[in-house]
Amino acid sequence: MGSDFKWKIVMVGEFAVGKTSLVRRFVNDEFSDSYLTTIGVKVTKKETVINDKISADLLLWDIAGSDKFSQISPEYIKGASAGIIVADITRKNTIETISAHVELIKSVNPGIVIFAALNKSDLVENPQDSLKLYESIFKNNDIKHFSATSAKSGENVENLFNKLSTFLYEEVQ
Amino acid sequence: MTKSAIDIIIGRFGIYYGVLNSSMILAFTDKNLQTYLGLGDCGDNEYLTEIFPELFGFETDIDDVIYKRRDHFSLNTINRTVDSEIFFNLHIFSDPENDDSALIIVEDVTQGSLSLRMVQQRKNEMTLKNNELIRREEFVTTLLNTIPDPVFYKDSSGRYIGCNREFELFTGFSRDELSGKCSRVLFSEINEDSYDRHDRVLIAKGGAIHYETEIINNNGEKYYVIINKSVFPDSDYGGAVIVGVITDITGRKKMEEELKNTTSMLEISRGNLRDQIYIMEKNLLIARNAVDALLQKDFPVTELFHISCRYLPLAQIGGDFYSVIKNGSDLNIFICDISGHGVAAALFLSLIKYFSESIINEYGDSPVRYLEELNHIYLSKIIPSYYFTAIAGKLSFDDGIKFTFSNGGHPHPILMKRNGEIKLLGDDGTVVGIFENQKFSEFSSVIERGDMLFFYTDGIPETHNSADSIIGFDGSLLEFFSKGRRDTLEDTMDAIISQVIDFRGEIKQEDDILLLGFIAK
Repeated sequence: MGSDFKWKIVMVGEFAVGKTSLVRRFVNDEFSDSYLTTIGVKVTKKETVINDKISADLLLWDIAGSDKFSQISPEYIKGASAGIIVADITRKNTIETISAHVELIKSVNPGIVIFAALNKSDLVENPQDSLKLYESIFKNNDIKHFSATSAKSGENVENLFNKLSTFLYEEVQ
Repeated sequence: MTKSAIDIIIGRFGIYYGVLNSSMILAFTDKNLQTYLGLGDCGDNEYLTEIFPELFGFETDIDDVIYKRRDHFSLNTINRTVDSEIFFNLHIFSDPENDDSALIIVEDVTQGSLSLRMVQQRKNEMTLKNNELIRREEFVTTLLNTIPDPVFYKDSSGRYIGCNREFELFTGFSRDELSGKCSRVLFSEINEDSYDRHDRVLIAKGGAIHYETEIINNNGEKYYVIINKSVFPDSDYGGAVIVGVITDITGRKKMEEELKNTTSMLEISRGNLRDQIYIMEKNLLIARNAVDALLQKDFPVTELFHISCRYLPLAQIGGDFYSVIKNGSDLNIFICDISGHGVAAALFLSLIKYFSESIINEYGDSPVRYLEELNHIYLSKIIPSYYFTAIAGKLSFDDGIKFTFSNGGHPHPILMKRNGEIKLLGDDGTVVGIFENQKFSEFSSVIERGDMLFFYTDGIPETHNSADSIIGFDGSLLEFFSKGRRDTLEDTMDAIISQVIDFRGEIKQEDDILLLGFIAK
């Protein structure tokens, strides 16, 4: 029997912020310290249960990291229900480009729901301080939820995707 | 050519295909596609997005291709892991022979993508390292900028690599202007040989050095500085990097210069002062000799009296004066003490000697008139800046010996009787040389054979010792003289002077000591 819902979720952000690692942690509960650049797109399906009764398939689009010289192909964004913008909590420039990523995603897909994750929170002493520091970026870009995550420790990873699933489910109700 | 032969041939080029109908069902007409995607156990016909979940969300685009509203739709560089990683481009083309179907073409781009990933990975890693370097450099720059002294660092050939903000302000050059240039180019006034020599020595020997030098900056301002340099090996910058910290000692140098000038001026002043002191000492010596010449060495010889004197002058000129002059059958005695010392006192003393001798014939018979006249002459001839104490006395020999005297503020004469009695004669009186028309009193006393009569200046009663006590003027002085009593006048006077010296102990003599003595024969 098929799932009740199927949502395409794009993972975007600068290179080496941990997009692939977040997907691997969420889907396979795995983590590797070695860095392997993502080329193109890798789509991974993960079934989740919302409120203990609703099943949903999340199609997680792990898109190659972008920078100011190589932008994401708009085709990848098309048809996505949500986008998770991932930044490296230790690299200020990856956080400062969140606005540019939001702008690009919304230019292709205006109604998209956007979440943000400041990843690698295990590398800083007090991740909440960073969230507070960049709060204005999240709020100014209509980012529905933001949290500090660690693909390495698993901190807040499942919670992030579950929150997104619930949010999308509530949107369609 | 059969279909299977075509499938084999295009499969070798990494191209696989299938047919998609209007119900989004994919028919694996090319079995190699199933193999390529690792879908060996699936059926011949599968729902498109079950096989290609990547196409979820693109249903409208695919419909457009099936119904020929658009020519094709593509998604590039899709990554999957089958036995190993594969990358493929997915193309959907309209079927030219059927109105409600499309061709799915899968183009393997694994080799190209893996190569691209390798390049991209290298690029990303380099960017990360570069960012880390930039971050560290920013940290170091921030750290350097917190140092209040100018700091710089140069490569082994002396070219500036970087510096802190204080160094920019100090030199008048921006970091960009300094970068890559040598000191001798930037600071043309510097003794470049010295500058380079220090760097060469530092690189050759390692460790650290410091030296003083002068720098003229880009604004033409000259600074005196101490430069501290150390070196550490760095293969990126010609083998070594020199780090330098500059301490500005211009203020200190200016102070040293001012001190040097002041010292030099002081030296000149000292020289002048020495010359002046030499002249003054010479003048004092002359004056001293003049005063000595004024003082009486030989006393009148009489049948009735033996006269003696003890005089212990200070190194500087004092103001004590005495004279004993035979005036007919009488002896006129005059003793005085001028306030102050030095050349001026010597001059006044010579005037007093002149005045006192000039009136002796006219007033010598009356000590009181003598003193009053001396006061009058002194005040009428001299601006009263020096006063003096004096006793004018007369020893007359009519019927026995009679001592008549008048005291102008001088310490009392002491009469030491032959029978052991000792007393102070007369009263204090007022000092001479202050008030015009000053009146003085006259006293007289009978002198008997064997009696000794003493006159002295305040150098004796005011002598003080280390306990800060003085000999004194009244009873204590009489007691002091009494202890000095001997059989002869000479012995008595020596004993009194000896006692004065003993009383003083190690305390330096502060005034002239004069003792004039008479003994009736």
